[in-house]
Amino acid sequence: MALGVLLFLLASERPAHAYTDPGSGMLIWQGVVAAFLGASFYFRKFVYKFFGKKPTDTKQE
Amino acid sequence: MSDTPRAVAASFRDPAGRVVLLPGRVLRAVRTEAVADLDAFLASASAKTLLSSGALVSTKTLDAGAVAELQRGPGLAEVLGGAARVLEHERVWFPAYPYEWSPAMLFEAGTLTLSLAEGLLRDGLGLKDATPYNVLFRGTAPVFVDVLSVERREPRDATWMPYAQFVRTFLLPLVAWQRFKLPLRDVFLGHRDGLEPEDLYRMTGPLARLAPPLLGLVTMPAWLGAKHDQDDQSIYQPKLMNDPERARFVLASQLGSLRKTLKSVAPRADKSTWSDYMRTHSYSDAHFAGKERFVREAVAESAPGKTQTAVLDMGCNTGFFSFLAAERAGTSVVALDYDPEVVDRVFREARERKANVLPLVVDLTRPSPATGWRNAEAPSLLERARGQFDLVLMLAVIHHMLVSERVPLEDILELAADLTCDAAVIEYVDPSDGMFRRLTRGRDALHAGLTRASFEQAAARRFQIVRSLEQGTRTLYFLRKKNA
Repeated sequence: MALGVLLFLLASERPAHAYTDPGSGMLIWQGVVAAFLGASFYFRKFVYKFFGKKPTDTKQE
Repeated sequence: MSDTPRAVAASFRDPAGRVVLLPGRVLRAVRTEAVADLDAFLASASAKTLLSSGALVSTKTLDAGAVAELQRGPGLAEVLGGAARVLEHERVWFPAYPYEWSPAMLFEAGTLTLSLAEGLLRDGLGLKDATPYNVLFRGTAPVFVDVLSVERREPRDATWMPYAQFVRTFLLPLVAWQRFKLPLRDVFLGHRDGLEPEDLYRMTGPLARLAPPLLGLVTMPAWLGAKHDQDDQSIYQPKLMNDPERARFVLASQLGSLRKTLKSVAPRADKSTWSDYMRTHSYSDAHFAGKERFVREAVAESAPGKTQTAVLDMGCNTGFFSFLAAERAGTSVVALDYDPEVVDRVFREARERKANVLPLVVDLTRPSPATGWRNAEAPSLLERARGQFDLVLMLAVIHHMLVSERVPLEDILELAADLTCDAAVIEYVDPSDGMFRRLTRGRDALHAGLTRASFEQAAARRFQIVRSLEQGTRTLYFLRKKNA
């Protein structure tokens, strides 16, 4: 439900058309994603340490 | 291309060096500050792999003697004087820019850029920028040409700085093509740096914005950008992680996810449009066979004795005659058509057949202008084409120029004579032709004076008519330029 509300807000949001710094939004979003990935790095290590499972490297397709 | 050397205006953005074009040669002056990064790149495993496959422009360092000699050339002392290193690159023929590419070409250029970024990450290096202007096409093969785009990476930095540029110049234009069939020329002729998330945000509906790939590429960045305090510069400070291994993992994952996204927006062949094209060609089997034989002989006879020849197919449609021309050994073909869907198909087929054909999206009556700062970053299509071709093909195309665009016949022949160094095959389409009539939509009086005789008269002013083949309402002419 909360997710639904958030998604609705996002969908109806209109970005400001004043002078904005192009790219700032993408840089922030990249940072958010990087933070998640950084956390998952420790999670993978944790899994490896306790379950002896070797973390697979990022897939290079 | 002019005969005088010129520093390419496009190269002024990177302070690390300048590109200088001489007739038939491409030089790059590298500044002292950039030499260490350049050396690290050229010694890396990625550079070696790409060089051997031809995906990186071949590069050699000129010795002091060669540089001193070049500096005696007019205008070169200033550009080369301050350089710590002067490189000479292979000249990629025929330079074409993203506004002339079909979507599949942008996809291939993006794939090459990501592969390079991934390889460099393994080598402890990184890409400074990720733009399609770093890529040219040798036939259908993308070639990365900017050797100064690589730098040694801070091992703890987990931010891929060209991320936003990659999204703007590769992913969002491909999204716009996939969803709205927005041609790349509409994107890149108007915007050097592609599309902003805000542009796509305005074009898409509320539901589409919430689904991948738009959620991550468009909606979140547009939303966060609007919320972000524009005076807050802190986001641009490098954020270093303590563990280099973790930073590398984050970067590799991001590149992997960009690659997945790129695949998800890859242009797909639209079968229905294509079969329409195959149906609408208006020849009987016998006429088509005659046309094929006529063109084949013209290809064989043009530029006699030359081992390396070039053909310009103006209005290539299915690419049938481009492929036919490319069968002559040592022949490179540039094939132009205004429809990106058609050019995409020709590009795919050329790749499959390994044919030396470079298909480009160009409207012959509105060819790409010179672009960029002072109109000097990229020369116009006609400037690039002049003096490059031994044979120009204008097959089943002049009626489109005459009728839809109202270009005078004399001007069309003048253009053909201007672009070819030796020969041309031009197909005369009579006003009584079914396709011609469909285009005129009743305005027959406009072309009342157009006959085979008037066409031949106009052609004879610039060409010697070697032979012709009349088939119904269409006549093929093999022409040789006067004083060629």
